[in-house]
Amino acid sequence: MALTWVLVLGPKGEDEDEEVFVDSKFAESAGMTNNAFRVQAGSLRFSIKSGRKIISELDVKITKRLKANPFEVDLSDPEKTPPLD
Amino acid sequence: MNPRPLLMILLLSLAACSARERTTELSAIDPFGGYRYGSLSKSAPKQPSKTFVVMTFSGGGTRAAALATGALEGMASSIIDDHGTPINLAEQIDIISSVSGGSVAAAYYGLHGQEGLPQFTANFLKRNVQGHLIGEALLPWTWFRLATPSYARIDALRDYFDDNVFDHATYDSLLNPKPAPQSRRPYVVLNAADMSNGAVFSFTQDQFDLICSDLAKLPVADAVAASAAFPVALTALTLKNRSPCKAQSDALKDELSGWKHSDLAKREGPPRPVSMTKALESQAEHPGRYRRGVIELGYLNEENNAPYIQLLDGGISDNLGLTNPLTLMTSTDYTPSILSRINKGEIDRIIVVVVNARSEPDNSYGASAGPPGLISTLLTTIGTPIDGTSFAMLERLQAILTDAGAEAVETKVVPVDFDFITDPGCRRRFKNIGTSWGLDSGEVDALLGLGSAMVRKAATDLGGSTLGKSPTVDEACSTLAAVD
Repeated sequence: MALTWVLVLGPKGEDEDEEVFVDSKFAESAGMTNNAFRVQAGSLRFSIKSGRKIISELDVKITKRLKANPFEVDLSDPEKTPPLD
Repeated sequence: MNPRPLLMILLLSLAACSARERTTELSAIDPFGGYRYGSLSKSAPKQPSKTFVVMTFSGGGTRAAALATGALEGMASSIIDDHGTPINLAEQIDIISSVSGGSVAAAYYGLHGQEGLPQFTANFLKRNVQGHLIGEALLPWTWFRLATPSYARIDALRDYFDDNVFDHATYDSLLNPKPAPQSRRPYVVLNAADMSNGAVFSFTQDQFDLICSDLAKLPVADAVAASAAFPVALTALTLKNRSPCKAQSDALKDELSGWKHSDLAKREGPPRPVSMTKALESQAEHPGRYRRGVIELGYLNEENNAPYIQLLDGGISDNLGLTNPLTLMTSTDYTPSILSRINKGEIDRIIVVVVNARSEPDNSYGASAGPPGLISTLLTTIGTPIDGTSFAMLERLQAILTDAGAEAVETKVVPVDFDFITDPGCRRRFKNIGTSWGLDSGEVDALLGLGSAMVRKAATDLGGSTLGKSPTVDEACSTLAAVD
């Protein structure tokens, strides 16, 4: 089924974990920042939003990883991760 | 009076009838509205629990609908523990995914809930629907209608469901049941098979966004008839594909719609869901996801050369209705993503009740040196792939659930299946119940009793309890034996 583990790093200075959305499915978050969670392997888009505004977004090709060594996706600095479209 | 002019007028008026298009163009793509899992909570909340319950209903005409109804009755009388709180299994059903005969029971349950089951039994399960359809088929008026593009053989079944079972209900009634239910109704996913790609076509707004159609306006009878359009005996059910359309282009202006230009970097190309674009980039890492992306791309009809979708019995693609739940367990691309809920610790137990009314009629093929006749060969050709797919998926289910779940997630598969009857004579009798839309009343009672008994037994195996009296498996066997 090609499931794999990712760890999404959230914006710096935020005390609370943020909801992470995968492939722009904004009706339902896939996991939380700073907590490893499972996704399907392959090409994915990771987003963090605030209200109806996307504050950080990144396209990444995710390969198979174990929970102990998850694939890191860095959304910690919105300046460095502008939406690609 | 010369009847010929009248006949000519009649024939001309019939010829003027256009084919049924069935779908209505979507005015806007709204991932937070329409017939989606999340929208159901607006009509009534679900009792909080960490148990996610999925039911799947197989095909098999009235035999399948009756076994599924019995299983639903068993769910209503089963109580299990969820972190110290007793929960009623029926009130915890999150999703029902169904094909063919099972879809009749699933859709009725979505509309009327537990309270509607006695009426469903009296007005559908114990009616000779088959006899009614055959009687209609013999009427000369039916022959005239069949000569027009607006009426095909599938419409006889569709119109029966619409008039006599679903009372012209649309998907909006599933979304907003009246009167409002006490607890949230399950998300009902009716499945058909798409003739053009052989894939499962699920009646959800996620699917209908791709064909730019408003599922809320579709009669439930259309979806049930498509799901039950057994090949050859019935024609396919045709849907108008309204993609590409303005709503899809407009979705590009809404940051949270989930739709972007196909070329994400250059912001060029036709509008597509981001999940589809990403799936199409994942051929090497995730071939299954890539394949789903390719199939979905076809529904966007970007070349504008395939304006119709032809749907047949969902059992052709998957006779257990398991494809949709399995996708939800292993993907974040569809809602409700069970995988996402596991990720966030919202679920720590998944119960999948697989209702399988697979038949295995006695035959003498092995006793004769001569090849079977044309009809037997045709029925076997149609039925064998259906059953083979079901078995393969059932075998994989436990392994997939274990793989999809995090360490703390408990998975339990509850088979409601003739193969799990220990008495071989009884098992054979259940497997020999015919596939039709009209069964003997005793056969229906036996199927209801068996479905209920198997679910109640599973509830006690889970450490739960059952309410009231219900037939045991042995008593269901006796009921069926009395019919013989």
